[in-house]
Amino acid sequence: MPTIVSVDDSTVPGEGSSRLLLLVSSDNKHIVVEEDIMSRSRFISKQVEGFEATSQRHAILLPFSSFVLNKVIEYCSHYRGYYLLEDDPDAAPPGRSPVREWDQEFLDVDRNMLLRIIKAAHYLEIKSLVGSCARAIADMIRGKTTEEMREILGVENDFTPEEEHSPSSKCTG
Amino acid sequence: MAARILNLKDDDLLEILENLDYKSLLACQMSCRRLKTLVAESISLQYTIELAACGMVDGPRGSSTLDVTERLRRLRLYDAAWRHLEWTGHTALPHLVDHLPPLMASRGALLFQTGDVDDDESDVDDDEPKDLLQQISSELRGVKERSIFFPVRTGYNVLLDPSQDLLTSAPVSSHPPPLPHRCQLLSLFTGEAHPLSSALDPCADIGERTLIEICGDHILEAIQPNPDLANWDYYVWNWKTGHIVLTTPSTTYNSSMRQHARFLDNNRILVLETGEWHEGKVGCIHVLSIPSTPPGNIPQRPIHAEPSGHAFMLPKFVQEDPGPLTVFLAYGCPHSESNSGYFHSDPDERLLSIRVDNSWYPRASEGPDHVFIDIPLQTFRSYIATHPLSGDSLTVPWDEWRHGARVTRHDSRPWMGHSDLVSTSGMRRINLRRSGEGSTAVLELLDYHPRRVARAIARQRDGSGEVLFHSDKIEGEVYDDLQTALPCLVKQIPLPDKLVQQSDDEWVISGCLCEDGIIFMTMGPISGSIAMAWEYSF
Repeated sequence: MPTIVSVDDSTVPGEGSSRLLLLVSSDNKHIVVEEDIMSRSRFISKQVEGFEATSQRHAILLPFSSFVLNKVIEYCSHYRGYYLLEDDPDAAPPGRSPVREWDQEFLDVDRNMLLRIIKAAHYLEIKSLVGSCARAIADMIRGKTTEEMREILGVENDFTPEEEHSPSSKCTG
Repeated sequence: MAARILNLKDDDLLEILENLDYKSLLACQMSCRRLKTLVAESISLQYTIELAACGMVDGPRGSSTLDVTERLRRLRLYDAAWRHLEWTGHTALPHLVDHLPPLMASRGALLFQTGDVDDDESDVDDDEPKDLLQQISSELRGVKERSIFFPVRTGYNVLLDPSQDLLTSAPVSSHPPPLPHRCQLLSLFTGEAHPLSSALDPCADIGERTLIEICGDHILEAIQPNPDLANWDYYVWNWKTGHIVLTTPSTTYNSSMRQHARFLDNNRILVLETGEWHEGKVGCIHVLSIPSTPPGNIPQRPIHAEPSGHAFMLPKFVQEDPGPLTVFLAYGCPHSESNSGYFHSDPDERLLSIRVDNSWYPRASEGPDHVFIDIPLQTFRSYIATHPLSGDSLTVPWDEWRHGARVTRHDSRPWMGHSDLVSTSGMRRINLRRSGEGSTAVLELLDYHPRRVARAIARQRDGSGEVLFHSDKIEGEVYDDLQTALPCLVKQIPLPDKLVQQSDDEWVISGCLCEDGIIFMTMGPISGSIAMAWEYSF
């Protein structure tokens, strides 16, 4: 059950008319962020709709650390007010997400962090961030051998020797 | 605790895999059971793999009404049908007979020049001669048969891209200046000009230009800036972003040079032969590795900007180098007057195939008229790994890069001028050759894909295969690791009688292989009026 914390809009100076949200990370850090910034997240948007319906606002508990959460907030702040096709729920699926230079620098982090961000983005339903993370992870393994991929992805070879050498596992057609 | 990729949900893993090319996908699915299952069960990933394995390029997004499932089904049909090719009725296309032979054939379309068009095309200006582009229907690609008329503009040449959507035309003559020399891009699916068509002209007033090839996002052109200087430049430009990827000035004029360039593989490697002479008797080959050029910094639009706007603004054309370009200069390439510049690679970029005549290759004087030299591209790469680049390029002497080359001799009569290579499509190659004094001309279908070769060997073993191999003609050094990849799967098919009965001088043959396996061949004296399109399909 989420802890009920009342956020009084009038006591916190906000920018313009945007209201504030209280996000609580898994390491119990309380982070206040403008609602407008987080509207890119479908998950948060749905929560906010719930607030509107019940006229009750409470903190939103998130299952990842403040380190990751701050990173996501940084992303959302950067794209505040921008239209990104992938995040438009009414748009046709754009297929492969476009390369955005800022994202590439933003996601220039180690593999563990990248995996945490993509999980957080998935949880928060931020499609554009999931897409950018997926591209970044794909960039790490593109052109690598199977053995190198296992190393990078932290995957163990769970094939039996017979399976590994059988032609059917090498052929796709 | 280390985050593990397998903790991700299937959706996210698929999102990652969607970004990979087919080779990485194949490697990835070997890494563990979960990834293997994911790749095997995803239709879109299977489509990615099989499309690339067939050497094909997909059309623009949204151009096909077929969903991925249906496209994959048809792709597999195509793949299976390739092994059972037969001539169809090979009748002439009915309403083309009155026209002159096609000026060219490209990707399932024929281009005719017509005198005056006096049919019911009311919206066509009666006085102007028209070019007719006859597009042949392709069920596989969802292409309808149709005729497209457009006004002739002093020697344009025209190409279609592999997806049979992008019609590209460029002027071939600069006389009389100053004509607006614009490269036109037209989408046949939408019937609209590509946005870049008006905004973009990499070489607006430079002069004579020749479209050579379209592959994927890239268009290869040769441009002659000044007829007096006769210097040809090559331009590869990305038609989606407008970037010029490459210009390679050549130092010596060679009239047939523009035929000596070809994309290998899915537009990542370009081979050029220049007329540059080295030590008096040999030419030089440029092998260029083109960086994949992502659109880069796509402008983001503020929210509420345009209601329709799903299309991103395309960046304005900039003539700049998008990134490092690796250039291998391979000196010592066999070169002779009759060398028609002939390059090919298999889809895994293993081979660079060069055709030369026997005046160069010493052992060829023992008999064969022409030899093929297949060189593993890996040879270049391993050479580069051990030698420092000077500037952006590396010069590789022939003695270094010939190592590992396979030499195939052909004991046949000379190949027919420049018409020997009918078409290539991905790893498939169609040659026309004559095997004897008279009329036994055959089409040779060559297939480089190791997987298919392996299947063919299996069929031969069980006695049911009608597949021939060139292996008995292979001579020279062969690398062990290439041995499995090298055999070309060859099927030989006699030409239709009508075609063979013509005397040698009267043959004009051109053609193309498009996605559902059609080759167009034209025949008759060049000055005559007979044109026939021969259909060769599944």
